[in-house]
Amino acid sequence: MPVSVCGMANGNGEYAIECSGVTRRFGSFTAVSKLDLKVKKGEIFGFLGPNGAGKTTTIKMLTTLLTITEGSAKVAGLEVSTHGAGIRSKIGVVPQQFALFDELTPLENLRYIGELYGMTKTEIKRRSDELLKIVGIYDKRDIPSGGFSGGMKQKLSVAAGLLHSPEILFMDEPTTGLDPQSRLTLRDLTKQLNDQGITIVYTTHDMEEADKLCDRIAIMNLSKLVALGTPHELRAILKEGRTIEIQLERKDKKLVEEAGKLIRATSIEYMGGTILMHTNEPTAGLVSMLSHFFERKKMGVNEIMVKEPSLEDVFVYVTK
Amino acid sequence: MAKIKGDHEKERVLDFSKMISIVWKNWLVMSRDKFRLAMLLLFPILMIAIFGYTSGVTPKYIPAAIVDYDHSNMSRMIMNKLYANQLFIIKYQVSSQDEGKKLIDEGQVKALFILPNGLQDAIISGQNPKIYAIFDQSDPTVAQITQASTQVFVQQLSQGMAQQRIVSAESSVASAQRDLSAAKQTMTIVMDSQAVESTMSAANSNYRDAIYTSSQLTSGLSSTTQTLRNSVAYILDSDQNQIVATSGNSFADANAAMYALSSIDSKSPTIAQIAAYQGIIGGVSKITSDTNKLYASTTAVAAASAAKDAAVSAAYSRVSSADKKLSETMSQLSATSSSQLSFSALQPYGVHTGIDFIIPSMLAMTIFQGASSGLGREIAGEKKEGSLTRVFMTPTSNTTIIVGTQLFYILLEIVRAVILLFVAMVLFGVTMKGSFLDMIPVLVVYVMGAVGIGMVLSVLTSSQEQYMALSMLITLPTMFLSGVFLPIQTMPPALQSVAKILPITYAADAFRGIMIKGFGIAAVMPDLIWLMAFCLITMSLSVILFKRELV
Repeated sequence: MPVSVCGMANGNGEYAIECSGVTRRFGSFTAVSKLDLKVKKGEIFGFLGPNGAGKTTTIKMLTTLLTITEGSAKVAGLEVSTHGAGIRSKIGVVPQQFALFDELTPLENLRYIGELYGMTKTEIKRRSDELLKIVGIYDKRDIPSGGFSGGMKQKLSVAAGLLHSPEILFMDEPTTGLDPQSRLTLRDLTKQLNDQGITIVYTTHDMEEADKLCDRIAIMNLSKLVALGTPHELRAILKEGRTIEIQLERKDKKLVEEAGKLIRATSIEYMGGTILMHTNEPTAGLVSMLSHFFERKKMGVNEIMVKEPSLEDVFVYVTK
Repeated sequence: MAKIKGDHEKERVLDFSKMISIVWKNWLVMSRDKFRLAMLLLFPILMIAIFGYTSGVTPKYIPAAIVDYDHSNMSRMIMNKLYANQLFIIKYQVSSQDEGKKLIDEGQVKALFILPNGLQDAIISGQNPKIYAIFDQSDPTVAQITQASTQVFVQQLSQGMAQQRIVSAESSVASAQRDLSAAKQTMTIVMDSQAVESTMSAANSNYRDAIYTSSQLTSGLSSTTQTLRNSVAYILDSDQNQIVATSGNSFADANAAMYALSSIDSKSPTIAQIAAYQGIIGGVSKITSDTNKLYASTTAVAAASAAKDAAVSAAYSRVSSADKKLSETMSQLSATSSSQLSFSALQPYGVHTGIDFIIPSMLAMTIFQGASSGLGREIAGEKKEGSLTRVFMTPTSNTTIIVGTQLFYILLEIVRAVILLFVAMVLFGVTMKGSFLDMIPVLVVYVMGAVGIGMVLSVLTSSQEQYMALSMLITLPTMFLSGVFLPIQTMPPALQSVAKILPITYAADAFRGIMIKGFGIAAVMPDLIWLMAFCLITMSLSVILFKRELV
């Protein structure tokens, strides 16, 4: 029997979160400016952006930790500015930091959080056992969590965020500072939770992670939303540009420039033995065109490869 | 499907069961950190031990040196007294001030006493004799104590000398009294005028007797003479008419008659008789005149004697008055010498040692320090580590979070206060005159106020480091102005007025009242009211300032 980890999304409408013109100022500094976005129920929604872009401020506003200066936002169907307590009982948060008590065991930590959510003792006990099994630290349930590894702490933090069966789970850079193995486990766990119907809002710096995990991604830069869509849609932003990586047997700058003209390269970069050519030409035929050219010129070719744009390229493109 | 109890659309302003959870969590966190817990509970014990063993101890055996420039009996006497004194231990007797100063510089002695040349003369002549001293000023506390001890010593010394003077004055007065008393006795004899008076009155009566006798005699003789003369006149008349009739009262006439008679032989015996009478009358008259003279002389003597008498009597009354004054002086002197004014403290509140007075202040200080730093530190730490964020994410009101957290610290501080009191009672026999039940409301209100300060400070800071810096800024001056280390009365007026608004001052006052004076809660009500105001202010401020927003 599958274990339930989330509450049923019982709000009306298809959106878990709706932001309209959300703005937050600190004095004269605008941290988030006129943010419009909607998060669908049941999706994993990624928030990307360089440091200081306004991701964390946005998350804080949506989780009622910060008030909204202008605009309005609905979370789980409730207005953030007026229904703080209601929202808090419907959302779960996995903060950047451990944000639990090192001195307490996982069970004690969960008990404390559960009591603050107003859960009954039996309910807390049942959910704690369930969740600790799901995140895989059930056998450590009676050991003070101060000695846990980063990964184990984060798993406990996820369990704490899910304890009261929230509709939406906010995860603020949950994999930052974890080893690759723990990242993988946590990512799988997130996926698993989402599969059971919980909406997840996920912020990260890891493009690959976002690419693999998120259904949709919002990219923020300088307090504004600069891109929004599925990873595929975002990559499409860069559909005009691709990079060809070439490795030749010997150096011949003149020949390389000639080849560049052939494929209408917009720029040519030299990175050690590798030549990077950027072009807006369609991918099809590029490789064969270049191979033939070098063959004619009696130049030995080690490798010719066309690179499609990554999410990181998109990120760099939209945030530069 | 998990069900959550209750309706989370609303959060109660004061949720008691959540407050209990917060207390429980805080206790677990604290109890798991054994070192911190031990420090928290040991701190009051440590404090009380340090204060208990260091306060109220009078200094003894301060190492000192002495230089005697006077070389007199008096200076030797003073030196002996210094040697015998327990305040100082005279380690060196040096020959010059410079030598002594060197000992101070080397740290060998803390004080150098200088008995200057001419000390004895000054003492004897009653000028202001002075003993000089140099103190090691490198340690102001020691210098202060040494100076105070010297003051005490010199006071004792000068009292002793005054005592000696009084004793010698007493003996002089006694001898003067003896002289006066002898003089009085002599005068009494002189003034005993009975003899002169009776002599005078005897003289008077003798005089009257003599005058009377002589007048009787004169009149008797006169009449006899007249009779004789009449008979002679008759004889003359019959013999010859030569006799001049006379009244016969004049001696001249009588003499003339006598002369005439002398020529008449026949009548000569009678005439001779008359002449003889006449002679006797003359003698009597002479005696009368002499008696009169004698009387006048006697009267003059009597007058002189009376004047002398009056003078002696006046002298006597002066001597008496002098004697009276001397006896008064004497009784004052003996009262002074026999009854030295001494000081004896009455103990209406029972017998107390120094620590009894320190404990209430210390209690107030420890609580303030603990309450204002412990909670705020915790909050600031949770803020930084994010666990406060996690709590904020739950449907729990600010007030519940604040009061719940404070509740734990209130309980903790009360436990610490009880430990402090217990240790003070066991280790130092501190007495608790009032009721511990009366202490509870003061403790609770004060702790709440102090915890409120911690809460306010934690709002103003974003990390434990910042918090510690800020709380130091508040707790350190508070500690020094609390009267634990220094009496408030000795502070400059400006600082005194600061001390007068500090809650710690009022808490200490209330604790002192209950613990030492045995006051009930009513008697410490003014303090309690002030503390309540303080509590209300800090609690309201903490609720107002404590924002959920964590930037």
